[in-house]
Amino acid sequence: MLEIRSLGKRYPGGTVGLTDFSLEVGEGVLGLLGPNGAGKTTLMSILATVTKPTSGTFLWQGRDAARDPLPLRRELGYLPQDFGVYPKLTGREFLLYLGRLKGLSGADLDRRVQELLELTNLHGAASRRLGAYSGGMRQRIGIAQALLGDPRLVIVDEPTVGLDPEERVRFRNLLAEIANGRVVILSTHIVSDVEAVASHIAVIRQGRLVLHATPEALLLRAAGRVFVAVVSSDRLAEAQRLDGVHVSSLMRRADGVHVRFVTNGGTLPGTREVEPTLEDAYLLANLAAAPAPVTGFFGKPTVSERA
Amino acid sequence: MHFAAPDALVRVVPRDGFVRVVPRDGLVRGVPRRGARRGPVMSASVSPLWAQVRAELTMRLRSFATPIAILVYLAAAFFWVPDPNGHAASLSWDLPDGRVQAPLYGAGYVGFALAILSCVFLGLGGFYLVAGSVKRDRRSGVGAILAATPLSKSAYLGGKLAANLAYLFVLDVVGLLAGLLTFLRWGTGPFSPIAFAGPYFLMTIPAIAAVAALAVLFDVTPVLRSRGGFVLWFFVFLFGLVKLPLDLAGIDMDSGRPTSASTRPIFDPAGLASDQYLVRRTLPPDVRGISAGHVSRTQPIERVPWSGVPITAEFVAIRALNLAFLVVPFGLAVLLFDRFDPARGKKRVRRAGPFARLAARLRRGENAVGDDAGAIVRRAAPLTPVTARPSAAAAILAEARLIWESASWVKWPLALSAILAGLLPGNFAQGIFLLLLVPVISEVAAREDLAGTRALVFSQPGVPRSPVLWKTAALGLFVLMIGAPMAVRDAFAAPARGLACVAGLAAIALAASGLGALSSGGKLFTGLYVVVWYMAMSGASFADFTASLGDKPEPLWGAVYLGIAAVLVLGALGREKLRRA
Repeated sequence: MLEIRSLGKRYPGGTVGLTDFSLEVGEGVLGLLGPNGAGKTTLMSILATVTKPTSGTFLWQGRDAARDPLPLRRELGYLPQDFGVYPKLTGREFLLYLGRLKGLSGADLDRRVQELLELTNLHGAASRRLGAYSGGMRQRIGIAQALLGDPRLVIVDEPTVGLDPEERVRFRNLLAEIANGRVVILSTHIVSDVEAVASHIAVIRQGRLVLHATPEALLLRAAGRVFVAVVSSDRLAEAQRLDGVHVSSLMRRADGVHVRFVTNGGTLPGTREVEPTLEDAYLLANLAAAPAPVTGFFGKPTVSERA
Repeated sequence: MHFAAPDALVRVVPRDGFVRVVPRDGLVRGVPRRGARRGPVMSASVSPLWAQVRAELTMRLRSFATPIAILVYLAAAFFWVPDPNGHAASLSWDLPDGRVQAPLYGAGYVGFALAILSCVFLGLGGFYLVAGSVKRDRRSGVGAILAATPLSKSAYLGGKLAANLAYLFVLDVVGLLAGLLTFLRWGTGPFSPIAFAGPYFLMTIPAIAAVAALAVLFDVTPVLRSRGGFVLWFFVFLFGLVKLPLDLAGIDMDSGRPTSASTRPIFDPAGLASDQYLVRRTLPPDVRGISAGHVSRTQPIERVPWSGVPITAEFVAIRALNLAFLVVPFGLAVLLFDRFDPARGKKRVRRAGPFARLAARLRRGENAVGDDAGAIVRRAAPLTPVTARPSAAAAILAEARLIWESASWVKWPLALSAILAGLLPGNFAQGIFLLLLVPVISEVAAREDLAGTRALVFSQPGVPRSPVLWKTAALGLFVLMIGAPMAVRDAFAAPARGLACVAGLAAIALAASGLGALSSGGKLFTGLYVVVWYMAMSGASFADFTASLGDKPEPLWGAVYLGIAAVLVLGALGREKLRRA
């Protein structure tokens, strides 16, 4: 449905946002993961036809959306990362305005706005001015506007920022629900959000696509590369700086600090292999091709390992 | 397989008061050393002040409003000091026998004439260039970040004051350069830098200081910082900084003649009473009225040598006293400033008006009190299908409707004045209507920039490819619809006047769109519009852009203004193209 071909974006100051980014996206939720400044928002902004690419193109339903964005816009629901609202309008007025820009009118528009206000639990605050909304309520009005026009492509950039845990879970469920027959692109830092709903995951780093796979394939790739070791507190700082490993979590216990880490190297003496999570798999994808792992740090190799 | 020792892992690089731990992978993880001095040695109060001045000055000099303001300023300077062989003069006086005299273009005269212009231009227009920085910090959220720092209210506002002053001083120097060009073109006699620049700076610096401080006061005061505050400023300047000082100094505003109670201009920050007072002291005592400003005379003007206003102790004292005036608005600003604390600024939750609340109650299941608690998704029922037919026409209608909806309470007096403008004779209702349009339409073209909704709005399918053309069409539709009663009234009076009124209304829409898009705000449009509106209300036929305000309307001017506004829209389209690229 959405085909991205060698997309590139270079900003006027020379900053590179995207480089030769190619990807095919079908129905379902695509989770877009990547560190800060990786180019996620640039990609989302281009796909939402707000920013023009400097090279490459992308096709929506087989039509070049970079050259002719209108067909895509007709089927797009977009929630940008940072979006403003008009503080003097009420929530309902704001949705009615954006609905009109989408081409909705009359009873259709009124009904859809009411449904979305109820869906996002803002019906009680619909007549309140947006300037008086809390951060979470604003985020919800953003989500509501993205669903105004029966979108076939939904692009949401960091949608769960500002939502409390319960809201986050329910929003994820909503995304999973609307993904039926639609393309949903979800960009986030929160791996658990992606884990819960994504049918595919794309990892982006320095403007390039690093990895594109199903969550299962990612987990399989990480198997045998996630370990837990116990180190003393005074050696913790050293452990965190080791080459070839990425510490994913720390837990202080009576016997020392339990360090969970991922590595591109082999089995490490003195450590215990554990089941990978998607977060481990993501960290592993971001770990540069590592030099020889620093096995000696955690313990001496056993006789069988030496052999 | 090896053990990597810590000292092999890192290099310690002391620099700038920080210890930089540089691992072998080259990534820098900075750790501030305890007790380290951060940044260069600078006193606690000067450092944030300088930082703010630098940041504000950089932002303003990079704004499109600055080159536009400089161009307008240079054009004004060009017209302000006219051809010395013509019937116009920027400073002239009447003798008892009916003769009119004006100075020869010596360095002292050119400098002083430009000083008068700068006092007016930077006094009135400078406000529109510098006001709004506190509002911007509030809107962007930067204010909340600053409020969490040890920066005091007076240090923060002092920084804003200094930044306003620095920016206006840059423009002040541009004015002096314009004067230099004028002297090169028409000047006579030797060029004396002291006579040229001394009185200029003595006159203008207190004026820009007062404006800088008043801009800060307007920025922090709840009602004054609204869009209506920009309109109100015009009248504050006219009556508070021009008429009141002239009255207090005993000078008649229209004729420039002293009244019986003529005194030193003690309160005259803008300098327009001081220039009359100081010039009069250099002229023979029997001189009657003094005209300052570009004035055309019917009789020939006799050019006489005039060495300018000498820098005396009295001159310096008067202007120093007026420079000190900035303490009053600045002190008030510090007292009134809420330090971005919403609890202080907002006493109650703002809600929709009574009509909107009534309509809401009539809808099913809605109460007027919001409920923040609870889950985001109430039910999982699928959304019913809807049919969308996006089009440019629908988007234009939606935008025109939004102009009305987002106009807060001002829309009601605007609607009333629009109806009265079509019913009442004379120009009062028409003038009020044309003035009330300003706060409603001034920020429309820059709304998405100001509110941060660009991505949300411009990704909608109905929005035309050119937001500038979209805004222009929506503004045109709105202004023509609400101005229809006035246009119909004029058309009944004379068809040509009706057409001129339509052209003038269209010019307003185009100018609001063009200037708003060029400056990414509404201040530039507001400032220029209010000046033209005032001249039209004062009877200047060339400024009567709708042919509805003056006694002798000249319909051609509507077309002229429409042409100028169209050029502004073309400029905005050019900028839009650049932004896309």
